[in-house]
Amino acid sequence: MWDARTLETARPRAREPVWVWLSLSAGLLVLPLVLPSPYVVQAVDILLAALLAASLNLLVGYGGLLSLGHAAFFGVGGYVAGILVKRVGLPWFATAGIGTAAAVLTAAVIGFFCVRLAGAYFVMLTLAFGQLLYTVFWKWKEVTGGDDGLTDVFPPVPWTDSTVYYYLVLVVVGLALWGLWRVCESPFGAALKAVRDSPHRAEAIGIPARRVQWAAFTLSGGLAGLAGSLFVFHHGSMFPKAAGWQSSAEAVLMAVLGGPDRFVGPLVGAVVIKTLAFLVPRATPYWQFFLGLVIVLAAFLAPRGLVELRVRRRRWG
Amino acid sequence: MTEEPVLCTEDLWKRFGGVAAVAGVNLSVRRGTVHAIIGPNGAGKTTLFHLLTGFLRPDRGRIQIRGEDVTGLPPYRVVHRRVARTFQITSVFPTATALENVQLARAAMGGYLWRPLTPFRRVEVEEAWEILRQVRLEEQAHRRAGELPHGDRKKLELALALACDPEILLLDEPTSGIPVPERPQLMALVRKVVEARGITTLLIEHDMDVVFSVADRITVLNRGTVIAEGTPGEVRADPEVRRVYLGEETRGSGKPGGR
Repeated sequence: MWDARTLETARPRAREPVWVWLSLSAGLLVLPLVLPSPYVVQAVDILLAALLAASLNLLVGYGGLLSLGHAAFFGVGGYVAGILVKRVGLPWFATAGIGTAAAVLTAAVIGFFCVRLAGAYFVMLTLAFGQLLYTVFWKWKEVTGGDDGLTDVFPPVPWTDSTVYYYLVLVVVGLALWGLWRVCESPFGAALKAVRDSPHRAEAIGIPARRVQWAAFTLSGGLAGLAGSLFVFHHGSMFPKAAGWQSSAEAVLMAVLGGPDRFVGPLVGAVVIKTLAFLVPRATPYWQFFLGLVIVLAAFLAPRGLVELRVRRRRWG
Repeated sequence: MTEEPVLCTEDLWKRFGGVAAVAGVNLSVRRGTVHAIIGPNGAGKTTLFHLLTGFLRPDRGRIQIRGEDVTGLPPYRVVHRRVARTFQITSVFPTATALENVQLARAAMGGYLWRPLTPFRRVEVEEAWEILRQVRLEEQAHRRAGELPHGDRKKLELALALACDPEILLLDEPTSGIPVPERPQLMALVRKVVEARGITTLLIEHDMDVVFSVADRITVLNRGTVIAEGTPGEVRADPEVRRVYLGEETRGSGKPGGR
């Protein structure tokens, strides 16, 4: 019934208990202190992959827009930041900001055209734009280094230390994810889902459907660019492959495997995929077979993503 | 003297290929009335609604709301001119709860879309409850819209339109899919809500019992043109209407179009 208590919130939300978040934060904070250095390098890659997957999921999960060109914005962020350090000599943290801004602009231009198309045509256009940027990174050898990659773009000490860099990335990615989460939980996030579910109904209640999708595309690409500009200073290098369609597909895989219906889904997906891709090759040369097996199993056992396994168990239990 | 119509069209045309779905419609809707649009299938009723709400752009002609030209405005702008609508095929946001559905309409109309730090679940909650209460849906508030029975989805769609705070409400077959015995109750609810808020209602409806019981005025369309307009009594007596639409044996009851 309608009473004052139900006015408090729209819907009682399933929330993780506080200890889950506390132990997760504590774990992330002590991680580089207990892990050997190569694992810390890997942990930074996982954090960046998580940001990439979560930013993509704004489109794939919330917007119902399957983008196959997302890694291109990661590439724009990384290449712009790296090139400005290497060829122009700007301070690295400033170029990381410029790289992100460049990704925002690129995504705004590309998104402007993409959101005008629906369904498979949207997918094709994102793929085409993504490969176009990839080709620029690959062929413009004088500037990007082409196939040989853009190398030796390390930041000054102490940032070359993987533990120090880990904490920087942890803070930046943490803030970015927090901001993205707020956006997803805001009326904008609800509107984006509404446009996905019923575009005509959304327009009929005053939601400018395309503008909402365009904004989502721009934000999504911008956060991918942020991940890219943190990536280039982490490895001191950037290669065209990181911006190509395989990388975009990998980000889609993380989002879908983890669970596109929830904010944490892509984060879980990124951790699982990146950890498997790091550990399994050490055990067997047939690691891609096992990675494929995991994906097939997940598709059957958790078709809406790994995070749903937990939700389902709770409902039954 | 005549009052300025709240909504009117001038020589409105829309063609699909060689077919003129709406062919020179002049419509004039008086403030505060329930104005029904009837006509056989394919008469252009829904096309007319799409034109009035910006979902289709007319090939020719003008649409005026309260004397202002709104021709060619996109739907999300038309609704800000206080014209809200429902759809023939019920359209709600299935993965959101009934309350969230209404909240979203309030949020979009209230300019909350571009405030990323405002939590959606706190936006316009009381207002949304009030609207759900008006359409007698408050007990379903926390259920997902996709899980609601058809009749409740119809009511939710009405709630979404009301949440836009319209002066003009366009209802595209509000009773379709509702069992005949329940229709008078639903329409009484609609009538009550629109009267309480002073909303002008434009209604597409196939059930002639509904039309003749709630409508103040009726416009009859056939093949995209207006063939009659007037009070229910005048329309019922119109020989042209009886010929093309109601059928000789029909006296304001039963199914339309001789089916």
